[in-house]
Amino acid sequence: MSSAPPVLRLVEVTRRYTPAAAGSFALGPVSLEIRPGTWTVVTGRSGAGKTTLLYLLAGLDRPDSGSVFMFGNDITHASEGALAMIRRARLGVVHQEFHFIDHLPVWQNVSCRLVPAGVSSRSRRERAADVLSELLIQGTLDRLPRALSGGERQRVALARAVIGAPDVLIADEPTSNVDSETGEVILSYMKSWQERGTALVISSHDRAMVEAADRQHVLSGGRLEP
Amino acid sequence: MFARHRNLALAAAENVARNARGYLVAALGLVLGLTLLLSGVAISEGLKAEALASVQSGADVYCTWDAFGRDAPVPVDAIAPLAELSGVERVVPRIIGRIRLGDALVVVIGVPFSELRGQALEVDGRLPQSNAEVLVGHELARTLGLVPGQRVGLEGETIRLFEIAGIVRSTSSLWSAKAVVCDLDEAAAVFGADGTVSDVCIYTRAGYENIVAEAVERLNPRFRVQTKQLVSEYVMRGMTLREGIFTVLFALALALAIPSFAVMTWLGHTPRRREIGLLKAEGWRTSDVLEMVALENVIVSLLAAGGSLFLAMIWVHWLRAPGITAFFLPDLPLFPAMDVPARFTPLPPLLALVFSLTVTMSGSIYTTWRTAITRPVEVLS
Repeated sequence: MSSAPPVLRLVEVTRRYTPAAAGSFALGPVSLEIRPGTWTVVTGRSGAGKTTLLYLLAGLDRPDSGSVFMFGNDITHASEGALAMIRRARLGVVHQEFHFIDHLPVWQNVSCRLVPAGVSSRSRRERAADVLSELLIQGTLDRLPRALSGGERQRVALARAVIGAPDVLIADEPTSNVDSETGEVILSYMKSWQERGTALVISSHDRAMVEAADRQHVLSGGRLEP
Repeated sequence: MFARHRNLALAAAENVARNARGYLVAALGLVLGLTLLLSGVAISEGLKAEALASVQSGADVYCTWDAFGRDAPVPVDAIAPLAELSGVERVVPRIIGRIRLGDALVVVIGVPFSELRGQALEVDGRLPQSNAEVLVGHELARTLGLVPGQRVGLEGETIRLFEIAGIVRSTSSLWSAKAVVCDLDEAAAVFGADGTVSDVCIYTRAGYENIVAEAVERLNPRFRVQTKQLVSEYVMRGMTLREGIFTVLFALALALAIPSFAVMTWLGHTPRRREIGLLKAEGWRTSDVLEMVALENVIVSLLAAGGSLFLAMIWVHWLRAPGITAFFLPDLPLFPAMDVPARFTPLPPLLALVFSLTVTMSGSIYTTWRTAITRPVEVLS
């Protein structure tokens, strides 16, 4: 287990889905620490709040109470611009529903975070090709997302999350609805990122994912166990 | 820093190209509106230029008679002393009036034939050789099917029969398009002008315009005098007013297009909202998203303004601007058979670009900004 300071930290965080329903919290209070190079898995029933927890960790959502720390900084009330810069430089997120830009080919979807960073089109394409090649789907480079199989979509989503070489990779059910072969490729690829020092936070029911984890948390009734 | 702007510009261009259908539908309305606007302004500018040229090549001083404080015909007896004034080179009396010829209302211009021979008129046929011959404007000839050699009767107070010596070509001045030009005495007979003319044109030596105008007024206070400069100002004012009304009407119509643009483009649609949410999730700042959408608008506006200018040129120069010309020259039919005078100056296309930008930006920037400042999770869910 890493003794380095946490890259992500939630302190007594709560988040409710419907503000009108006072007292009806979907999540929390929750406290969690993610350290560099660790593999953390969050499991729990559907609707337990796993996606909400991941979005709070990624700075895509804000808590109703409590604090969120990223890389030692309290980002609970950080501006959208500051959060965007952190996400671009240091975080990668694999969304459960992929969220591709349908009219852009795979390489542009994968490398879209590099556009405002000023990386040239040629470099972006090369970097996307490299990552897709590592995931064994280099042939999808110029295809549109709608032309991809389920397994390919999952790997393209993972490629997009890691193209910026993130310090933290957050993945929401990255191996759901994929065949075992694709699942193994994804698992192996995520392990390679852990070896490079990237912290992984994964929501999954996949036994292989759970077994690979350093820490496992179960989200139940809006609270983390243990 | 430059690389960022370059990337956002390329991304914007790619978005426009990949969503060409959506943008095309939205831009089409804009292009149609701007084409009409640019055509109208070009015609107005052309008419202004031609009117100004006509005034400049015409007389230096115009005289009518004062009757009850209004313009009235000038008695022929009062004309002769004008030629004696210092600085006057030539005095040309005219009779200008309107009569009905067949179904058309035509302008009859009566001038001494000696004056007509000095004009550089392009004519199919020939210039009149005698008082019994007339020239006919090309638009009138087309409407009534008149050709050189044909006989035509002008009926006013009396009926006079004339032979058509020539048709004034369409490349000539617009003002002769629906006119019949005849000898002054014949025009006087047609209109029953008893010893009067409509007005008197005075040509002066260079620089004597105002001196002659003042001398005419001193000669006989019943003369109402207008200098070339004054006539030019009146012409310009009239044209500018009409152009202004035209522009305001179109500005209003296009302003109404702003919400249409927002609705018709895919900017407000769910896929675009999701795209913006994803870009934010991937680390784009609100300013990055806004810049890209703004650049998309710039591209669409440039294409719309450029396309409008191109279509307007075709509309005016090749198709003779059916429909619009009649707004500026009510005498002309909906589909004029003549070349319409038009001038495409740089300012209207620039204004068209600004207008396009206003419409596209107003229709998209606010929506984009609202989406971009929303938490990504809300947009993506």
